[in-house]
Amino acid sequence: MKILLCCNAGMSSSILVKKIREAAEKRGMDLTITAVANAAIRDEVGKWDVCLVGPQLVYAVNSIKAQLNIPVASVEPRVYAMADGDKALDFAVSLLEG
Amino acid sequence: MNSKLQDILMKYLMPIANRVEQQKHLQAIKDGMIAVIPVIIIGSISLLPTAIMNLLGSGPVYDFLAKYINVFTYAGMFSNDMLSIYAALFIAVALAKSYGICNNQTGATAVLVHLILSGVSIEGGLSIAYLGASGLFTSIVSAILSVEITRIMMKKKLFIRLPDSVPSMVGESFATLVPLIVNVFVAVVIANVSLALSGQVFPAFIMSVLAPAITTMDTLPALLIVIFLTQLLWFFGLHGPSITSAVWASFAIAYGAENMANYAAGLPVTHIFTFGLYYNILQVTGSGLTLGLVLLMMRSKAKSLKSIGTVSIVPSLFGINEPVIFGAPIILNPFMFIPFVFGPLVITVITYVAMSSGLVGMPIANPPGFLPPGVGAFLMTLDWKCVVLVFVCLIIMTLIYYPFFKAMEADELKKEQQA
Repeated sequence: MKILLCCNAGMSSSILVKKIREAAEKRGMDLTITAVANAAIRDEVGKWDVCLVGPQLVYAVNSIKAQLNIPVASVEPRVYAMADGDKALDFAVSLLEG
Repeated sequence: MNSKLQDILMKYLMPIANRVEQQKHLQAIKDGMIAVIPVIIIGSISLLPTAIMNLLGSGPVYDFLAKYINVFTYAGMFSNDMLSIYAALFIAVALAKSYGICNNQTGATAVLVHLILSGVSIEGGLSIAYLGASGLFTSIVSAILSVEITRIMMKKKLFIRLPDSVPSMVGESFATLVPLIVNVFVAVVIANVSLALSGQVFPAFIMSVLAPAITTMDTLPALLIVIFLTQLLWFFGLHGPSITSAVWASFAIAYGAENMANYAAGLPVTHIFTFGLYYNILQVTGSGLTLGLVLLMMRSKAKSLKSIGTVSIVPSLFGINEPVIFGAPIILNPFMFIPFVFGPLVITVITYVAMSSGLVGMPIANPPGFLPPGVGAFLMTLDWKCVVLVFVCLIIMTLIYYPFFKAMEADELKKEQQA
């Protein structure tokens, strides 16, 4: 599974990247994940299965979705704040399964 | 409270934020201006020897630096003094990408158009007077003009069409040639019409048109509006600077570049509102200067606050405070509205007065982002008093947060006891 994380500068979401990777390792999941800045989202078309957006960019979800053409949603604020890798991973999986 | 506030958010703020986000030109300007920051940092580094000389005043190190100062500051000429060229390139690439028409001609076309519009032909060469800070607003025009001309021509299929038997690569090279010719033609016409009609080169004309806006943005009221809107957006959970900087980024970058150019030339530094000021003082440790709040939370008796404080502290030191904003949470939290939205306005007034009165040095360089509090402020001004200012601001913000934090903590403790 390939998850893209996006926030304004790719900084705060990079905290979550590490935690999601750890959660996936525990589950024995094959996972590719990275964090990018919103400004760089256009370079990511066609590379990912699902995109999680920092809650501070909830207003950009539609425009990111239009560019990437994959499931895109903002992470629940509390999950984002605590960098809860397990819950974020569950969320990504549920998005992909629709 | 929450659902009512969320209704307001959905109704008013989201559409505005959404519209700014989808406005391709504004986003391209913002992204392009931010992309140019590494070049400004190079310019800042090459300014350091000059700054060290100014600090020392005399002595062997001074003499050594003075002897080779032209070598040490060599890169500055090609980075900061030609900043607008890089801005034109980055803005054009960002805009073309958002249209899905970016190719390897995009940047070169924008730079060519920009040089025609901004380079001033002088006896025996070219003046770079308008390629630095004073050409930054022209670079916006150059970039948008070149990408829009190209886009319209591609849309209307106004390029040379060759028979199918011609190899596709040959066809493509012709396809990009016609928009380039039209771009150059338009740029030459604008440059010469500006000279003929206003007697000024085009960037001088642009600067005189924008003069009122350029003077207005670097004032205390403008800064207060920017900070207020930023904090308000954050309070509703939206990334404040990301939205508001669509308007102010160009100005802050231009002010910073002008300060650097003036400092290098030994002229007075006049601008306060720079990118460095914003991130290293006005929003140090994150929007709302939340470091003190995080420390209070770390020592809190309420378990939930303590745990958020603990995960927030390290990112906070590097200016990342999403964990505390979403975790405390600050968003839509009635206890936090007053300190979070209005506290930073107090900081803005203090900072502005300290700098405009000459008590603390104005920004002369642009440090890299995400530095611990005080470090960026020092690199930006090379004035230790500015470091003191940052810590004074953080202490004042902690005092402003304190009573509201106590109320929030009491409420949280009550909830935890009931649970």
